[in-house]
Amino acid sequence: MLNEVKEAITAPLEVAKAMGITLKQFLRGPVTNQFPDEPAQVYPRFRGRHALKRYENGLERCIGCALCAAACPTECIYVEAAENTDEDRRSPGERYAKIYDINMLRCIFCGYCAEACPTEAVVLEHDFTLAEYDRWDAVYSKEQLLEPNNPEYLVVRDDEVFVKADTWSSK
Amino acid sequence: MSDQVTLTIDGKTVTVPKGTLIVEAAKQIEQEIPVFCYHGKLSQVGMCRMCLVEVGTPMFDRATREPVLDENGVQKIGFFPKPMTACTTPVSEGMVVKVDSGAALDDRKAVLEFLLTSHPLDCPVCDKGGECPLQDLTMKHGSGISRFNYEEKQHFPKKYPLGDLIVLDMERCVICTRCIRFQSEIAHDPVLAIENRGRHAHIVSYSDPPFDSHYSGNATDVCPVGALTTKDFRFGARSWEMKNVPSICNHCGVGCNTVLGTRKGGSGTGQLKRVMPRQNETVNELWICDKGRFGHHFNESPNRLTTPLIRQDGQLVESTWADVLPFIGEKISSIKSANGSTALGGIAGARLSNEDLYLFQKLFRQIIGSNNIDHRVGLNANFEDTTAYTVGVGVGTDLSQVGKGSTILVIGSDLDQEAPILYIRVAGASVKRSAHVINIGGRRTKLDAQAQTSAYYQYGTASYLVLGILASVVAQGLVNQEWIDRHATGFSEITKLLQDFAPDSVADTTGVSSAEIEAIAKSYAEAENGIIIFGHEAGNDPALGAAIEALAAVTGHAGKPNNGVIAVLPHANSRGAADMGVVPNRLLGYLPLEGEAGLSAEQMLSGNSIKGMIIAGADPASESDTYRECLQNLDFLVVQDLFLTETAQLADVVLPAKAVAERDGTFTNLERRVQTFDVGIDSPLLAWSDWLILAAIAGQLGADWGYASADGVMAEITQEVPLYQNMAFENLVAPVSLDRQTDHYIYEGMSFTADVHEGIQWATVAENEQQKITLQLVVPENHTGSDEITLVTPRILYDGGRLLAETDVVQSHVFQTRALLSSVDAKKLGLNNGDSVTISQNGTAVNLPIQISRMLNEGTILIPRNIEGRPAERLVGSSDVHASVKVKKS
Amino acid sequence: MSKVLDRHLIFRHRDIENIQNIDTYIKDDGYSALKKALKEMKPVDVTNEVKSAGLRGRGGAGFPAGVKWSFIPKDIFPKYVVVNADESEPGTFKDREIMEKNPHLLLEGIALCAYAVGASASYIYGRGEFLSTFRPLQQAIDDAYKHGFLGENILGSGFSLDIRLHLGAGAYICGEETALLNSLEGLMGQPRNRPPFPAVAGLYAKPTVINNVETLSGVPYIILNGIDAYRKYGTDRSPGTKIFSLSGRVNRPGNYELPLGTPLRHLVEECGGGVIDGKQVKGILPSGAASSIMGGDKLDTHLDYESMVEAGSMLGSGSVIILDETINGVWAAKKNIDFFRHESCGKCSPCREGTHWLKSVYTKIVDGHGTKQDVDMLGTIIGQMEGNCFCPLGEFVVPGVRTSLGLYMDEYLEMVAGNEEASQPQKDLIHTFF
Repeated sequence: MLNEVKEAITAPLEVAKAMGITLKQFLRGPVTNQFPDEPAQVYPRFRGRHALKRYENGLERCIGCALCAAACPTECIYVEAAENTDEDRRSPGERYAKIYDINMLRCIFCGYCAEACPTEAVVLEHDFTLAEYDRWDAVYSKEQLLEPNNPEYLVVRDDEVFVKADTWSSK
Repeated sequence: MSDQVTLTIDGKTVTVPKGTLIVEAAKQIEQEIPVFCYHGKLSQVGMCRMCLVEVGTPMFDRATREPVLDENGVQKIGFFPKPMTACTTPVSEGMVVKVDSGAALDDRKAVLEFLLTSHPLDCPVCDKGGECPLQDLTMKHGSGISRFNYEEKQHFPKKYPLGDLIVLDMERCVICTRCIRFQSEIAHDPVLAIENRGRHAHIVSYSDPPFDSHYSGNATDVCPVGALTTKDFRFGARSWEMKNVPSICNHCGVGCNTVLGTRKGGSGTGQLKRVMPRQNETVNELWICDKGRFGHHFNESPNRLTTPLIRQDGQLVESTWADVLPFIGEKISSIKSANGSTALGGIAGARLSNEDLYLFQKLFRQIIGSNNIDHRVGLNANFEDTTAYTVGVGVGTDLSQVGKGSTILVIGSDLDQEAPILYIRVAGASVKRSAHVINIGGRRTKLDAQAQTSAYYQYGTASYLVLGILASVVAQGLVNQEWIDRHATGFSEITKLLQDFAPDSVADTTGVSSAEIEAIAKSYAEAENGIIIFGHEAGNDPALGAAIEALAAVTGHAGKPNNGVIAVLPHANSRGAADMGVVPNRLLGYLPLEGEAGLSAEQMLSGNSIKGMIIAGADPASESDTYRECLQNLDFLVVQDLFLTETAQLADVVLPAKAVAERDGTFTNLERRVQTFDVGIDSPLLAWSDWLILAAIAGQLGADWGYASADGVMAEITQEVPLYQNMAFENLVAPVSLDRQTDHYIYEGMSFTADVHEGIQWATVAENEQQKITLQLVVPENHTGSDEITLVTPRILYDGGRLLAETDVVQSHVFQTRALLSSVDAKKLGLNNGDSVTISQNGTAVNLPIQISRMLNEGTILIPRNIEGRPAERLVGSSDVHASVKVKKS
Repeated sequence: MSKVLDRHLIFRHRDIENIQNIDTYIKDDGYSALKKALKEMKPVDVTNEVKSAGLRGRGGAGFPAGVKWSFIPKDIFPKYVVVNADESEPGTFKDREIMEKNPHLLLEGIALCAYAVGASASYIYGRGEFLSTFRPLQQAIDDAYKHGFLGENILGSGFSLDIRLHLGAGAYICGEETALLNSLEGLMGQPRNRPPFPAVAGLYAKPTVINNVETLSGVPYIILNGIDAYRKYGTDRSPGTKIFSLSGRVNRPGNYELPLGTPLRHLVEECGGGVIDGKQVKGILPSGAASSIMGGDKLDTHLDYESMVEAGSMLGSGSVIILDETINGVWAAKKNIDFFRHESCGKCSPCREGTHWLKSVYTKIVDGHGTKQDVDMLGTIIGQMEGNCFCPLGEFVVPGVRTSLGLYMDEYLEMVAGNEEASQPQKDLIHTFF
């Protein structure tokens, strides 16, 4: 008997409390992100499109070791290596990636490639806008992945002579 | 005392033959003992210290020799105070070995840490990465942490060219000396050595040019780290990215088993990245020569034929199979109806597979109706070997087992040049296993250094010498009468003839003393096993073949394993071409031809009775001008080849064929072993296998063969050729056990486990109890000695063949056109290195620079065959081996 | 100089002047032992005599010479006697004095040994720097040939012997007998696998006796004067005399021939005239660089094979180096390591890499950049080398470093004091790269 009385008093209170929350949310406005009109915010460790990094002196970090391809669970990375020469130096050491393709349609953005990379060359960046009209366009080549693609300075010799990029490319 | 020893390794008992090393015993029970310097084929040095294990032996009382027992009545085991190297310690009865005990693991970890102090951390860029014993053993036994100061790692120049095929990275070297030992013990080219001592020790090559060896590539296989790598594979692919396809080397008749390392490229086409040896103890053990390893780049040459070509208005223009095939059928039919089937002929190179050659002879004999077919053009012009059919080496022959008590007679062959892996095996039989190797030739060759006996005959008298040996065998009463009674007829007839060839009477002609001849005869006849290997330089003499056959038969050295004759034929499938009857005078399987024999290649190409020809995988036009003229005058010429050769340029229709790496099929090697090769890479889009082309041509001529694949053709061969009845593909690829449970590549340096199959040998007449060999001798032509200089034209490894010409990486090894002259003659003629001489014979004159050679006897000038400009063929004709020439300074 | 021996057994030139002259040598009963052996004794008697006299190898290992000779198989010819004159141990200079001053004694010893084992050819392998030593030795050999003590049919006995001199190219490792044989054959001076032992397959794979110069020089006295006369010197298990090369911080360094069993103190104080400036002995290296260091308190150890082992070191080749208080123990150990690092032949990895690593750590410590961890590392490195090396050279490194760490730890700690230990000195490389 006592319980029934108690319930009769508390029930409206609970309803009012719930309605309060509803009213509060009603006043907060929409949370929808207006992508692509506004840029999307992602978390710092978000794994999006890959980038191949360079050293500060402009040399490519990638040495073409293909460990990323070995680690890749979907086999979406294809690497072919070639040898650096003093005349045409792309990366420190002996070896660089002549071909570096990633098929973004196959990629599951797991980040194993970045984990496997011994030189921290390949990293997953925040870009996730990867829609293409042609399936072949989803295969990103090394030129597309390199970042920055046109560095201001490049090292072209082993003895670390810095040459301005535009003067070098005009050679 | 029994020859077996029982020991315990980590609690497991194993019984092995006496003298086995602990490391080998451990392999039997799947207990890997890590090694770097140990290699099963090389001598043991025990210097890397990686294989340290604890070893104990049962204890005996010193005074009484009674076993010392512990409280349980079990004999006590006394462990050595120091760990022992498992790779140098032989097993003994009751030995106890601890491989995975704490102390042994600690020692291994310690040694690895030492090795890694001077090893760079460049596994990601190293070509050995992924198949590297050091990498594997570091993962398994290493500490994972380096305490050594990284800045103090030693530095040597990276990418040091040890030879022009091999790259040395001394920083990676762990100084195991496997490469040095391979070069001195197996290849017998001791060109590598260690220079300096301690931590400054490094590998150097003392030869000029550096790393001057036909076997240099094997040093990269045995290298347990990435110190030695091949130049052409540099950064080609990571080891795990490649698919390993079993194949057979197509450069000479030895038939080395290879692995094609292939990789699917980004665009979907397969690329042949490297060729590595495939273990087959009965053929090539673990080795291949540099020609086989590096000479595969012709596959990706831009000069490959990619589409059928047809001659229109005097020009070869691109066409399609649909257009050219009816055209071929039409032309062949019209020649046949106008001039008869004998106006058609065919030459099939001995590089084609058995299936191609079978269909080639079937096309001509059954569809066209002509016996004008031949495979003997170029290097083996007119040379016919039937000794292998009658007295070839017995089934089960394994040169790697031939040893003490055996005699190997090498006649007229520079094995190091003609069949490099055969050289390694013969030299190994002599040096490692004390077989008696007798090297008989017209000049000094590399094998002389390993042969126990050497004899030099005058060129052209090899048959006299063999008859002299045979006569001496008979005279000394060393004849195996029992064998002759069972297997041969005609012995009494030949003994009469042999009286003219007593050692005394041939000594003058041959220049080999009768005592030498008698000693050779005695050694060969009395040996437990006798093998005769004869080669190109002995000459194209029918008397020689008959004499060798008789010699093997009379001494009973035939028809059983490790006995018999090996003819060193030049091409990958010369043996198979003879088996398939691609000769004008014999049917397939050595069956006699009923009716008139056809024309040989030489006859076809020098007469004018032939109007139309099909030439598959051969290039006679480059041999001589006569051939070229003849081919130009043909009404119709079809050529199927990989490249637009000189012959192809004369053709009316050129058909693109597939290379060995691009198709499957079988080759028959010098020892009559039939072996399969598999498809490794994609061919140019429109290229067809030769057998398919031939079947298509037959289809145009009204035949309906209906072969779907090469093994379909082989299935028919097994029906048609009794010798080949077991050679169905499924039998040929049956895997062979390695007789041990552990075959990790740390032991042998073979970084892949491609299938091992040994192939199948067919049985000779001598092995067939139903058949008998008819012994008959041919009296050799009179030999007239001459005062003039003798020109010899041997075969060499790096010749001017088209396949090598398309391979850039070995270009510096290819023989530069020149003549070799002995120093005595050079002095007589007042010549120095590089001087130009005119060499003339019968009105043909050739100008060549000379090089003075120590290896030649006086009165001999040497020009290899099949080199740029073909000077040798022009002087001696395509079928002879030597000739008297006049040499004068020009 | 104190005189313990009334008559030197080996250093006879210290008793008699000009004994390198063959006439003087013959006058002093020279070559009488050879004459006696050739006339009165069978080869096996010579071996037995040397065996019973208890002559032990003086090159370092102390293996009984007679026993070694008896291992030589009788029926394999040719056999060789190789004399190890590759005296390269730091602090050893005794063989050189024998060869320069009393060469005929050595030649007579070689002849006796060759007669005993049935060899007809002998090689004396000297270190590359012995050019000036080998000139008088060659002169002595020429004289001996002239007098008929060498060459064909010696003294009409039918026994022939040729002796050849061979100079190495200067490598410590060539004092190891199998490396010596390799070097003599023209190969790289690196030790060989054993078995087979040189007694079975040595020089050119034939039976070979390899003995030190001093060992063979001791033979003539035994043959001439008998076992008892020889056993009068020394102890029961280490009979005879031994030459000790005394060097280091003493007043009179030099070679001293003493009976085995003489106290070390006698050598240092009586013969060597005590430590310079009367300082305290801090350490004793009784066998050159290869030995354990003994503390100054061990001066009363007797100089024989057994007592030295008991004292935790070894007699070795008898090159006693004295360190006094002015010497830094770490510096001394580093000097030794520098030597071994320079002389490591590079055949086996523990020695090749271990000596280099030790040197790099020692350099760091002596230069003042070391830490406590580095000192600990020294101990682990020698632990990793111990027992794992191919030949004794690598093993010789271990006791010196170990005893040095034990005796002079306070000096090590003083040197590394104040240097911060790197908290995470090494990267976990495997994790980084794989």
